[in-house]
Amino acid sequence: MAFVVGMLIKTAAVPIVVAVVVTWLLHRLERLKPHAATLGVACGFIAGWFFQEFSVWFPVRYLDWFPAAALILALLPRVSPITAAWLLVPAFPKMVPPRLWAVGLLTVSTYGLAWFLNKATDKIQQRVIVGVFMATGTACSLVLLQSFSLKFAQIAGLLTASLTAALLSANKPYGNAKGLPFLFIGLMCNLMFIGYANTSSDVPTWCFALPLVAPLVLLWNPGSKKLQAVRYALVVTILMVAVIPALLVHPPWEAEH
Amino acid sequence: MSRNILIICAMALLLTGCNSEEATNPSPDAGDNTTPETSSGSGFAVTSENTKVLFVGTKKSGDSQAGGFKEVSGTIGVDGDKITSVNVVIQVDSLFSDQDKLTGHLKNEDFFSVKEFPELTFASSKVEGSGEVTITGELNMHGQTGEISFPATVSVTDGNVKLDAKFKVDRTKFGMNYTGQPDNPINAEVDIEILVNAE
Repeated sequence: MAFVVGMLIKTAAVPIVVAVVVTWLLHRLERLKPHAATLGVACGFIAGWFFQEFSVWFPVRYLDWFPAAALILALLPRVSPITAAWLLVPAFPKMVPPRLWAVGLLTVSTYGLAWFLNKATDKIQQRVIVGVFMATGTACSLVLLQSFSLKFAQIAGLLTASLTAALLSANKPYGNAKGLPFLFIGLMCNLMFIGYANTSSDVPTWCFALPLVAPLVLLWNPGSKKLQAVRYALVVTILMVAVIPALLVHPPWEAEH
Repeated sequence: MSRNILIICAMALLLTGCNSEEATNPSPDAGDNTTPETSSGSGFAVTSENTKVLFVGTKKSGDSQAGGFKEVSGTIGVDGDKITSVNVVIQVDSLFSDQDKLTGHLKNEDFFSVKEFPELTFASSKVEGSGEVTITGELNMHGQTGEISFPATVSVTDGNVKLDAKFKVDRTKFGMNYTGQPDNPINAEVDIEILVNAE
């Protein structure tokens, strides 16, 4: 377990530094200011990706397209979900659902979730949205780890760590993270599907999907502080409901190989 | 919003109309158990009942983990008292080890990626020697193909062939690069043992 924690910390250092630097630089350009954090997060993720032992310069397999998908989702958020799904959904011989169905499902899910969340960013402080995304990303990483893939957990960790740039920069609604929901939801939806399609573990299928529903709670934007606390508690509850069964199925406190 | 939906639908129609790239890595057809005929002589069937395929992975510290594959099929071609060919197909999903977590990890993306590469195949190109032989052929594993050679002890009698082989395979040459803990990495070479007692 200590090794896993150490690996995830190592996975965080490069994306955080690159994301923060890129965001800071782009924030100074008036034209790119609204997108500075989104582009910074994408750059942090891509830089962290190429720092890992599993990266290749020229994509061969479906997994190798993550950096390209991140770039497309950051630069062309409104038309990118189908492209990202097309690049990332694998073509396994006996995959359920079949590839075309999976591409369609992920496109609709990504576009639907991201579109609603993008609307919410008009009214909610940027740090709240990014904080919820980081909690969601952490939950996704834990589920993927429990599904027996350290690699997929690392990828989720890269994206979560990169979000630090958006957390540290502008706090007002829409700050400088325009399009961030498309980037985060687009990558994480596809990654969780990949994790589900690859796993031989007993982690329930719904554990792979449920974390991505948690950010939708942000669409409920109550005025009172009491109800806002309830809102955050609801987000945490949804994430816990997704993670705890995955932990119980293969308890990490049992002997490791 | 409606314009964006139209754009997406148009792109979806365009992309589904194109020939899709179904696989980025070729993999043997599932269930294809045809084996090349030997040029002369007969052949013995390799089955899950008469064959054991075992492996041992080791770490730098000397720690080791053992496992194997349960579902094996293929043929061993013989001519007289010599073997002429060895062709084997292993169902990677039949992988087992002494820990459920390890088995699950080995089947996943970090190692065999069993959902993407469901079969592991070996097809010999030459068998040299008699009794103590050297078998050379192509191993297709994890979507990559490479030539391997290994020694084996073979015994062919009337109605029975026995093969006992112990050798090492460098898994990193087949795209399995996961090393584990940096202070105690998993060795690239894996010890393989194959035991066949076919009648």
